Amino acid sequence: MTKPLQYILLLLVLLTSCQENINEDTDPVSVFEVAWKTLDKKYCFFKEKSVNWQAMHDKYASRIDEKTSSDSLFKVIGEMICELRDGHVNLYSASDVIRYWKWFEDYPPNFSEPLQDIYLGKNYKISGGLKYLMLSDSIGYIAYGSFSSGISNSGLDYILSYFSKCRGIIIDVRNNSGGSLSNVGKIACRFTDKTFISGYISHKTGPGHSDFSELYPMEITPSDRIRSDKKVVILTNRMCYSATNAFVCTMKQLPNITVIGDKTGGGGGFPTNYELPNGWILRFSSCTLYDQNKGLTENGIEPNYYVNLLTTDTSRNLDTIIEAARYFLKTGSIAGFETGRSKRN
Amino acid sequence: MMTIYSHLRNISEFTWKTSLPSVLLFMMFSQPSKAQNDSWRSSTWQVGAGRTFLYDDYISPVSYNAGSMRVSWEFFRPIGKTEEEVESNESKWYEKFELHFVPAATQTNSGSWFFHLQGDIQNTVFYQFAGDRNWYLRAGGYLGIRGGGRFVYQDRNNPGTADMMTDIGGSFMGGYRFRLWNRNMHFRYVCSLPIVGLAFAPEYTESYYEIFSLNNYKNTVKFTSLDNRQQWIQQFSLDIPLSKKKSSIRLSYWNEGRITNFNDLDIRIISDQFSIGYIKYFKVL
Repeated sequence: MTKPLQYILLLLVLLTSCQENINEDTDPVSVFEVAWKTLDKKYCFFKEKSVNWQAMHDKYASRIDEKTSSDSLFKVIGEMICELRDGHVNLYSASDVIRYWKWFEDYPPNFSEPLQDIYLGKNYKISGGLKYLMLSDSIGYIAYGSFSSGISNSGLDYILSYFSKCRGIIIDVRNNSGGSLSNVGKIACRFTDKTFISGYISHKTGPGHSDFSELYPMEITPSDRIRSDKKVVILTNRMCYSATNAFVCTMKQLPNITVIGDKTGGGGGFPTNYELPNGWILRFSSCTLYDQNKGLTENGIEPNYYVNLLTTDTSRNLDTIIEAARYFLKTGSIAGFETGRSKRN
Repeated sequence: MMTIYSHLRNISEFTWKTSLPSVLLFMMFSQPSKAQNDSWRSSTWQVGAGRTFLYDDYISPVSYNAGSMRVSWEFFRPIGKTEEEVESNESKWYEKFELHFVPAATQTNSGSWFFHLQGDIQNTVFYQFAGDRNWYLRAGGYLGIRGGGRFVYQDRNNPGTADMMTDIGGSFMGGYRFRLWNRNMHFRYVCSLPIVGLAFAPEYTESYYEIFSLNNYKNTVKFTSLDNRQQWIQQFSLDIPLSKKKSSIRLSYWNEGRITNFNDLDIRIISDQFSIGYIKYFKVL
C-alpha cells in the first residue's frame, strides 16, 4: 500500500472515532443521574415549590447502586420527582406511570359523567372535541372533555350561530385535564371584541435555577369570524388542569364570563418529555405561565362562585353545578340559587 | 497590563472577524472578467448511506446513533481568463455549487422514532494556488444556507426543533490525477469550514409555541463564529472514468459534523457516509 493511501485511511479512522456517546449508559446509577440532572437544568418551579434539589439528590442517590433492580429504580426516581408536588411531573415506563395527583384526589370530584350524559341526552351535536346542545330553557351547553381534541374554526362558527338566540352559554370543562394551548386562544378569541393580554409566559434561558426570561405577554386578538357577546358560564372542578387551567384563567377576565364550580387544579407550566437512557420518559414543565397580573397559575384559578355537586341533587339526576349556571344565566345572580332551585323542583 | 492585553485581543478578534469574511466574500464574487469563456462543466449526482451521531440537548438528554442517507448534487466548472486556459485545464478559478440532502432516523429505547433532516445549499469559488496537470491545491470562500431539524415521534409538547443557518466560510480542495488499471483516475479531497454566520435557535427551554404562536423571536437569531459553532464537511472522492471525457463514476467518503452551542443548548451532529455517484461532463459552446 502506498504511503499517501495509508495516511488517508488513518485519517478516516481518526475522523470516525471522535464521536463520544452522551448519556447512553443504561445502568441504574447513570439513569438516575440523567433524570436528576435533566430536571436540575430544565425544571421551572424549584423556587415556587421550595424544593432543595441538591438535597433530593443526596437523599435518593444513596438508595441506588449498580445492582438496583429496574422496579426499584423506577420507584426511587418516582419518589424523588413526587417531592416536587407537581401534576405535570411524570415518569413513564412501559409498565407504569409515576404521577402526582393530589391536586384533585384530595378534593370532591364535582363531576359525574353519567349525569352529564343525562343532560346531553341522545341528540346532542358533535364538532371536533365539542359536544353541544340547546337545553330546554334556551341555554346553550357545550361540553369540552379534552383540550387535546381538535376544534375547527368552521365548527365554532356553526356552534356560535346555533346559539345566537339563546339566553346564554355554558361551557363545561370539568374533568378536562388539558391539552393544546392553541385551542385556548381559538375559543377565547370568539368571546372578545378587544385585544387583551390573557397572561404571560416565561421560559428558562439557561441551566441555573434562576435563569428565566422576561415575562412575555400572551395576547388574544378578537376573531374576525363569528363572535358571541352572550353571557357565558364556565364550569370547573379540581380536574381542570394545564391548558384547561390556562383557559379558565384567560376567559375569567372577560366581562361576560363567570366561572362556577370548584377551584381548578392548576398546572401552570408548559410540560414536555425527555427520554432517559433506558427508554423511560420523564415529563415536566420548563416554561411558566402567569395570569394577567403576573401571578402564578400553578396552584389553580378560583371560581367566581364556589358550587359543589350535592348528593341530594345527583340522586335526582340533577347536576348542581349545571343547575347553578342555568340559574345564573336566567337571573344574573347566584344569590338565590338554593331558593330558586327548591321552587323549580 | 491585562486590560491592554484584553483590548488588543478584542481588536485582533474584531479585525479577524470582520476582515476574514470580507476576504472570503471578495474571493467569491471577484471572478475573472472573461468568465463567459468557460467551456466544460461537470454535473455529479451521488447517493450514499452511513450513520449519523445525533445529540440535541433541546429534545433529549441522550445521544443517538442513526442510520442516514445522503443525496448530493454538485455542479463544477472552471472559470478561466481565456478559453485556452480553460481548455487546457490551466484555469486558476473554479466554481462549485452543491446541494445536499441528509435524512437520518433511529428508533430510541422508548420505542419512539427519532428523525433528523438536513438540507444544504452551498456555492464556493476556488482559486488554484499550486499545481499542474497531475495535482492541484485550491482554496476558496463559500456562502452556504442550511435548514432542517430533528423530530421525535411522541405525544408531547415540543416534539421537534428546527435548524436554519447561513454562513460564510473557507474551503480547501486538493486533487491528484494518476493512472491505474489503464484509466485516468482522479482523487480529490474537499473540505469546508464556516467562519461566521447567522443561525436560528430557541432559547434554552423556549417552546416553539412561544416562538411561532406568540411571536416571541427575541434572542432566537444568533451570530455564529468558531466560538459557538464548529462545523465541517469533508469529502474524499475517487473518480473512475467510464467513457473518455464524458462520464465517470465517483466513489466518496463523507465526514460531516456540526457542534453548536447557542443559548446553552448543546447540539452535535456527526455523519460518516459512503456514496456512489455519476459524473457527467459536458461542454457549453
